[in-house]
Amino acid sequence: MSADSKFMNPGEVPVIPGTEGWERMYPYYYRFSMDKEREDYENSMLWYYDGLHYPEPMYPFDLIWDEAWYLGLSQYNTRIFMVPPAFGVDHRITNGYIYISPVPVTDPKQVEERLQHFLQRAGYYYENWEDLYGRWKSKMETLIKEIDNIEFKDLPDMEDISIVHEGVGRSSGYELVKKYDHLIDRALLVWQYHFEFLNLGYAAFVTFADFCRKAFPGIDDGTITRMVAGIDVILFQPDMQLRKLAKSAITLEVTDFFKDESTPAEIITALGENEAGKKWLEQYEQAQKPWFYMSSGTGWYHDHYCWLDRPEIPFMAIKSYIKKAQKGESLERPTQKLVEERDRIVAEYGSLLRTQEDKDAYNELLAISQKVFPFVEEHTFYVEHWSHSLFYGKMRELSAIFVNHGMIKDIEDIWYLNRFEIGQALYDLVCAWGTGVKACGPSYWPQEIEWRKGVIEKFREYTPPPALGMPPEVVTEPFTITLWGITTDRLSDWLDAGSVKAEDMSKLQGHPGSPGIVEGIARVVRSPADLGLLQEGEILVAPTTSPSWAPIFVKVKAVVTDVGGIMSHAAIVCREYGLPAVVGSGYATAAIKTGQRIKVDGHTGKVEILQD
Amino acid sequence: MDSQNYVYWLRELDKDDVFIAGRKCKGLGEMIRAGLPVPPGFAISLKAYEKFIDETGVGKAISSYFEGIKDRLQEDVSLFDQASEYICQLIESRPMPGDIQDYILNYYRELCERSNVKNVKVAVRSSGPVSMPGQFDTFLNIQGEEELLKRVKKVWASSFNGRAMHYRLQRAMPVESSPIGVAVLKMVNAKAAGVMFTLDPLNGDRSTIFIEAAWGLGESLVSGQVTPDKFALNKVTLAITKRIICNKGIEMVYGPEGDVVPLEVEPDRQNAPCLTDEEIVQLGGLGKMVEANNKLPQDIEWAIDKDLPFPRNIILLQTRPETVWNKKEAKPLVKPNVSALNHIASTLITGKKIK
Repeated sequence: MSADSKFMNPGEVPVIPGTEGWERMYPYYYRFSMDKEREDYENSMLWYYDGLHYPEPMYPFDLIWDEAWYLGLSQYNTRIFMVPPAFGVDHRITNGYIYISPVPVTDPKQVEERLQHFLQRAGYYYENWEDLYGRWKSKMETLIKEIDNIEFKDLPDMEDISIVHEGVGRSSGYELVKKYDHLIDRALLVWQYHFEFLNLGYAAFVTFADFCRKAFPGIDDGTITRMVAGIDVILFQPDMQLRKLAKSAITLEVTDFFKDESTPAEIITALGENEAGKKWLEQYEQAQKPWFYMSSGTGWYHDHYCWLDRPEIPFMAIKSYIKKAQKGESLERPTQKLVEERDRIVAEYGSLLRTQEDKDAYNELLAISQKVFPFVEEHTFYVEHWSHSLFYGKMRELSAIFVNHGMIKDIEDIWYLNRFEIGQALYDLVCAWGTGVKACGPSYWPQEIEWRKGVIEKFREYTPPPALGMPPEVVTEPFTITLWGITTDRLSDWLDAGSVKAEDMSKLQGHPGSPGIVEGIARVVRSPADLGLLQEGEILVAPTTSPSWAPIFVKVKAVVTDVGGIMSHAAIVCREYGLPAVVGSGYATAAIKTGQRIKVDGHTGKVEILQD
Repeated sequence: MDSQNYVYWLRELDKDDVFIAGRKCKGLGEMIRAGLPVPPGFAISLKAYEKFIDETGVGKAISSYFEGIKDRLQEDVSLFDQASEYICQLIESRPMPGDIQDYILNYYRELCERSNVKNVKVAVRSSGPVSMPGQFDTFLNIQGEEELLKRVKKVWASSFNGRAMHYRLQRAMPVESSPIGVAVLKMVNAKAAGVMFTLDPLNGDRSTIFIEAAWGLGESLVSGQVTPDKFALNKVTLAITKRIICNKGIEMVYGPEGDVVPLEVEPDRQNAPCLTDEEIVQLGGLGKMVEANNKLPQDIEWAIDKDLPFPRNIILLQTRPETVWNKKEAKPLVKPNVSALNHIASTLITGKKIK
């Protein structure tokens, strides 16, 4: 990449006609170019589109997760662990899409000072990892229980007499406001914990991966991950439950109820009228908590419903597992074999090293990476799946109250307000209830929401450029490297690709996510809602994928994503399922159309459009 | 088949059997026992050679011939050539004892049967008990029983070529007697051939296996007449990590005289990969085995035989330690006694260059 290569400045991003004024949907500090000084800073930085988390434009409310990790990740780098060369990751939004920028520590003296603190602080965490991680799990479980206990009830016409008899001294209106604040507070706290280990986890892994690449230049990222990945992590649990339920349907001889055309409700009703069926339903109930909090997507959007909300997803998988088992295929995950294979790979690589110094470094870095990796793999279930799914459920309870009072028209309209606006609307509602008058919101929000819906739709049709601004010399921020795969090659590809319209591309270059080469028909899936369209044997092309799409991983031949590095959870699961995958191709969903024949090379990271 | 210790299948020979049929035969037997595929074939023992020399009277004739010239040998090198001509003519003119001839032909017929080819083409190679590289003759592309017997005698005779006798004289070995074995190996009817390094020749990466392959015999590759296909495998997982398919316009094949001639490749095969994935993986697995046996990364010549089914069609022709990277001293990549935490800190500080 040449030194003067530069992406377009944030201020040059075109305005989409009909969306003017979109900025008011989001907090003011997310805007680019607020003043000259800020603009100069922004133009000097690299801003890349975070399609890994945000394949769709931001709904004002869903921005809460972005706000949560804006603070969460950054503070651990900058203020807590004192990562020597890296401050946090800055955030902006433009045309509805989030752009982020890693902030380096540029003064070498400051790097040196921070190093001393880092060694002490990070050292403490690495040393006491298991103990601290144990505590983390119980902290999270307590927190999740607290979220589960929050209950939103509509406001009474007259307060209960107990308020008087017990001298409570405050109203249900006040309580409602407080509960909303509490829910938001708990959600932000979940994300404080989310980053307690993650920065250090990635740092250890990046170091091990770097060593491996130096010692074995030909090693691919998939193999490095395989060496440190846990075999029995909880991320696989939801899928394991489905396999178990399929097996139990066979043992209980109730497979006839699982007809292709039957809905989950029909199957459940039919099973309820049968003795063996009742037994199966008991097991089904047991499996649900917490495993059916698994989101159907990444958990970052309100419409990534979890399995509890959308039982057709687990039922579809149970049906396909029953068929597999009836064909004589095993539903067991060969855990023991996977462990042995991992240990063999680790030992064989170790034996290829020629000096004792290298063997020592390899063993130490491997040990520390294996120690941190369970957290890296498991935290997603606690946070993005379990907590988020519960959280969205609670928000829908609150939204129902808004609907009752005419504040919004539909429960699903609430996502067009951001979290601050909801606080305001709630206060509006409660004051009006307290005062005995009509609230202001009902004459403001419904039409504002209609307008916002139109804006989001226009954003959806727009393909955000992968990067803006000025690439730096060096990236030191561990997440930027590991999670988003921002490297020289990737930026060069993006710069090159920037000169061709996405629709005209016939070849794409991404990261080799999981080995294998296949050709097949593409199916472009932009949101989990489109997953139902997928046909057996198609190649899934998506902005990003999620391990919770387990039921569709058994159907597709290969996976291509726009965004993602070697640690994107999707890549991990693709390797698990033995599917070829190319991740981080930048423009796949823009360049490839459903129905096109494409070739996916999971070894080289190349995707080729063969014909229309 | 009772062959009276005159003829052996190669797999019957093992590492201590150098004096049964020579070094080459022993080496091939060893490779077969280690599970490595070499061209199928059989060995004609030193004992068969000795029986021939005795029973035909050739031995006595040679002894008396040398009796006459031995005092002058040191001074007059031209005597070697005269001796060689006389002895070779002598050996080639005498018919083989009937039983030995039958044994050899029985083995040849069985080899034809196993290869599913009538009058299968073979290589007839010398296999001396002491290492005398390149001293004796080797004949390629030999077809039919009569030709085979003729070439076996020619190999025997080649122990009396001028070079070989001179070599023996220099090292104070008996000049007038040098029993050698003969290896009769199926000629590989090469669909494709090439080389395999059990490391990456570009950077010395020992976790990589690197293969170059072209249609036909390996000669096109050695002589640089064809840009070969290139494949890389992960040595640990045997996953194929790289494949570069090149245009291969010609292939080398054996001509009618047993010489190697170029042939144009038909258009639809020119840009097709000359190895299947299963062949690549199988080759990689064999490379790992050879390396493990020899304790060093190897440089291996191999071919794929059209006459044999997968995986028996993959044949190793030659293997030797890789020379460039094996000679380099192993230097540590990291400083000694640095803790994992310090490694992590230094990785963070270095960051990733992106310009």
